[in-house]
Amino acid sequence: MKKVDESQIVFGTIDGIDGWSVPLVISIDEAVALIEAYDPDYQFSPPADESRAIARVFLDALKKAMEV
Amino acid sequence: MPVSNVFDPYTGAANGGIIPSGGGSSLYKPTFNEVDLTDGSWTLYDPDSLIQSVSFSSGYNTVTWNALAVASLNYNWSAGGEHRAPRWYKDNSIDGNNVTTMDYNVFTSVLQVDNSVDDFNQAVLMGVCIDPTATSVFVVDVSGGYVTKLTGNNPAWGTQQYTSSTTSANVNIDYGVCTIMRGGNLMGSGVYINSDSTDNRGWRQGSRNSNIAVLGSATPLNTSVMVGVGVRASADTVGAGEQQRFRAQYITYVPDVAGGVP
Repeated sequence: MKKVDESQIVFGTIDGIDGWSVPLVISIDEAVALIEAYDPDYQFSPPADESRAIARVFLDALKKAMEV
Repeated sequence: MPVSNVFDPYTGAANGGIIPSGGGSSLYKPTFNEVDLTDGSWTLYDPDSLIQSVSFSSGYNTVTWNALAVASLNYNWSAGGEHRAPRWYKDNSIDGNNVTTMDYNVFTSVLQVDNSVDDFNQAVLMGVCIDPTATSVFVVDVSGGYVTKLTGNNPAWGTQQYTSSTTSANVNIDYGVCTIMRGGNLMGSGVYINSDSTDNRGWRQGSRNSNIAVLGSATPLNTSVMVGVGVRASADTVGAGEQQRFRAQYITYVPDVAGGVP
């Protein structure tokens, strides 16, 4: 399970960067599975479908926040 | 100008501008302490001799800088592992009791900046720390209300926590109110509301966690109240004679948390 904690999205200046802070929540089971499968030394890790699933959760929330 | 209870009228001890020890004063709208950096109660720590002078008038402190020619994240309260920016400090004391890292300390600040004094990309920090004469962020352990201003732009108010910050800006905002809670050896968090002085309407709000356990274990360490000045971003410099002008007010208090636990 992964989701963005939408009510906690912040628009402001964070450490001098003007923009959005988007908190992503990942369940323990999924976090463990993601990290076990992730190899930072292998350029094709994580797989595209896994990356896209995370990216879409993030981008859907960011898009919604930016359109408010 | 309201009278601040800097000294307890019943005991005569410094009381942080909060409730007198007797007389049944209310927690409703207690008066803030006005920060006058020239009143003799503040000590300046300026490891790189960046402060040329400071003056006070009409509630505002005017700080005149020497040149900061070489930009560094050390002068940005919101970055890096070193805090070398100038800061004034005094004991964080209530009724003669120095507030420690184990006390549950609630500290509220109100910050305003004079937008007409807009010489450089500035920052002001009004908060609580452990050792104001240290430079390591882990030893300074500061958090509090924070305001930054990019020249020609609206100030952004919020909270600084350890070595990071979150701030928000809007053209209608005139002042920032921030409350931090520290205690039980943790640095805690800060929340803020930025408001319009015309009707005190809030225009922006936010918060930031420190996620920091302060120096030491459960050994109580004394804390200090601190006013820090610096640059907005790590690439910013300051010309000799450039100024910033700001108003800072605060209240510090310690609820008896342990006394309220059955």
